[in-house]
Amino acid sequence: MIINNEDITKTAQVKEDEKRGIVDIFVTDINALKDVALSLSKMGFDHCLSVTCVDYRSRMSVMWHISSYSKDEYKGHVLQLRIDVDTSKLTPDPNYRAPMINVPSLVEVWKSAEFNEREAHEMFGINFQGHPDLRPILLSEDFYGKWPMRKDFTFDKSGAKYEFE
Amino acid sequence: MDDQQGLAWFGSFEEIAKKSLDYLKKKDLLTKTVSWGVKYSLWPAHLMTSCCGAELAAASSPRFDLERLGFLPFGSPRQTNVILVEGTTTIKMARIVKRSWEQMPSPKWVIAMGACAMDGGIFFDSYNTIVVRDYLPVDVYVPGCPPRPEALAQGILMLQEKIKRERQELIKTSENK
Amino acid sequence: MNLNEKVYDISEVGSIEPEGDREIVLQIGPAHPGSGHMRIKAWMDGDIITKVDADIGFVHRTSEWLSERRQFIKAIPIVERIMLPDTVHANLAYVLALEKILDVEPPPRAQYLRSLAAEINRITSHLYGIGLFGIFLGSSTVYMWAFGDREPFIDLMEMLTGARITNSYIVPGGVRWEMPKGFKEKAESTLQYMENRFNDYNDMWVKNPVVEARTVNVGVVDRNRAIKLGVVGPNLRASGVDYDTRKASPYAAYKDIDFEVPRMDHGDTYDRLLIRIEEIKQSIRIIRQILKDIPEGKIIADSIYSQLNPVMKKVFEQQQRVMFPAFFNQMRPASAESIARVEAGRGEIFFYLRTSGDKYPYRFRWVTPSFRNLAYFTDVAVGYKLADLPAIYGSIDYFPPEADR
Repeated sequence: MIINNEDITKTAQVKEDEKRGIVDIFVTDINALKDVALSLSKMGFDHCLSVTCVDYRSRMSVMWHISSYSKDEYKGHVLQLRIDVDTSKLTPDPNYRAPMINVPSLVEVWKSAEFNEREAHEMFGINFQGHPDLRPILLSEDFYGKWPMRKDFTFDKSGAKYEFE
Repeated sequence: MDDQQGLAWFGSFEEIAKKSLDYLKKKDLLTKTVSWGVKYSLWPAHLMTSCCGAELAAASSPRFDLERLGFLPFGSPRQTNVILVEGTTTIKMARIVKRSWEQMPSPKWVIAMGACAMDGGIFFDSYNTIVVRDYLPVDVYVPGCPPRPEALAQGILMLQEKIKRERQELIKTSENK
Repeated sequence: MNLNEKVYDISEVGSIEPEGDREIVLQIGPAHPGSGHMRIKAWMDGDIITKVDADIGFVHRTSEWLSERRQFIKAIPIVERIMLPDTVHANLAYVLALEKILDVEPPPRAQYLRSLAAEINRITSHLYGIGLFGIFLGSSTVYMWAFGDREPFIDLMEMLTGARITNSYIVPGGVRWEMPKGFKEKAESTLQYMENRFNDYNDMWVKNPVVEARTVNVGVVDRNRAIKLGVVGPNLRASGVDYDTRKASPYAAYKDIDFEVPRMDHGDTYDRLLIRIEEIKQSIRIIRQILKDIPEGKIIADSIYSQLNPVMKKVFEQQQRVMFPAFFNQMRPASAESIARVEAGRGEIFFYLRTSGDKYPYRFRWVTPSFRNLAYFTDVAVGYKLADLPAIYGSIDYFPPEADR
């Protein structure tokens, strides 16, 4: 076990899968996420590889993959910091087709998560609270608010019309 | 020598002008010269749209050397007469390509490079891509994913042939009117 | 928590008002050779850059979305198309993630062939980067040299895999082709050619006073800042961080291969040029070792081989070429998740693969080196002159289709 820090294990379930190289840290309480992230950062996990989501239709998994450049003993490991958000009870958003999901941002802990979180916001409609700049990054304005990477996104290629200035 | 003896450069100015014009028309020299000049001055806008740009870069390298065909990318669209669409265009990029196309002086041509530019290729069902023929009039298609540099050179030769034919036809039709 | 809170007003896109009286905003690209497919917005105070904003996404072909709608085997070409100069590494990273779920272990010879293809690919990728860096500094000679020297290595790849750059060489359980006859001799002569060229590069380009004047002490990033920004690959090692995925979590045959990870201390634009040349030298060393030590044996795992039909087995015996039966399209890996990290030419690729027992990936997340280096670029150019911007941008070796996916 590479994670035996008590601050983390009391609020998160740690599961290690050596064969597939994943150390899964499942944070059950959304308010404790930032504290867990801070104690991981103190341990020496200093950069974020990826921020991604998996849409399981009734719930959304948001995960931060983190690793270390400075500590030799952690270089070979990738931690998967994960929280689940229940999406079945969300009310529809009048501005957008599907409602946004609120999750705390970890940019203050890992600066390298900034562009990844922007992308996750644009693709999945996740509102990272505390993120400095949540502008769309990859898609054109036509798709903002449709959250295309969610599983309920549908698209009809033949009927698509685009305006040229 | 006989040919040149027929061109007697004396008499009134009007006669001389008429004679020489007839001679040029008969020989079709002007058309040939202009189209010859245009076809070896194909300057594409330096506008990379997608990953086929890596093969365009290889095609400009010493082994394939597209510059010997007069094909040299320029920075500003206002100095160019060809748009080379390399592969997929996304909605965001298509608007930029269209704007560059409108800034280019006529006559101008379009080469669509790669399977994605022809019919969507491997990204055919993506929600963010658009095929070139939906927003630009394409002259030459170069198939491949990505096309080899030789294929791109072949496409440029085909465009040169088309320019030669096109301009001769253009001048013939304007004479008939 | 208010779930319906609106965070962002779409009408604010593209507002680029300068912040002070002295500032102006320059828009560079996307139809410009100096930026490729990226629009760089630079806020200027006189000649000094005060802020850089990168507007990317001009090549966003929604590859992640598409790969979730393809069978597992058919996702390989899409993965390759996003990073054309680094195709072997992208292919390898996907196959590694898939193999962890399928529980397949390739035989040693296949591991060595994977490393061989990856290293040849790394050399072509670095030469591509050096050539484009030359263009950014206004030296078309180096562009011509680097792209000319890239061609022999592409020929090697063509001999080994049958395609110039989109190889699709690596498949779950092994590789598709045996090393052809005469490959070792050709590889050795190519490597010798490249080694002789280093002197020319040194005289004409690396030790050139003009290049030194434009790159030394330009775009300096120290170690701590590089770690904080999460930089990857040669750019990270140029800042003095000792990190290479090939050493940190070895894949393919790198466990058995002896090589060094070059490192610089200063982290400026010149160091980022030097480190690419040093890495080419290390790659040459690795290729020599592989050609000497490569073990004999099968190139595909037994568990895959036993599923081939008799005709395909016969083809394999005669031509040493793996053909897959059509039912591989219907492959349904068990419900699981896995990750893969691979050190590509431009840096570390990270793939996260989630399967659900269906014949399509449930979620397939790609993080490419250029996307992670983007933060680096927007941060490092601040405080330097506008004339330094092309040098900094070129030295980062940014490949836009790779960043946008």
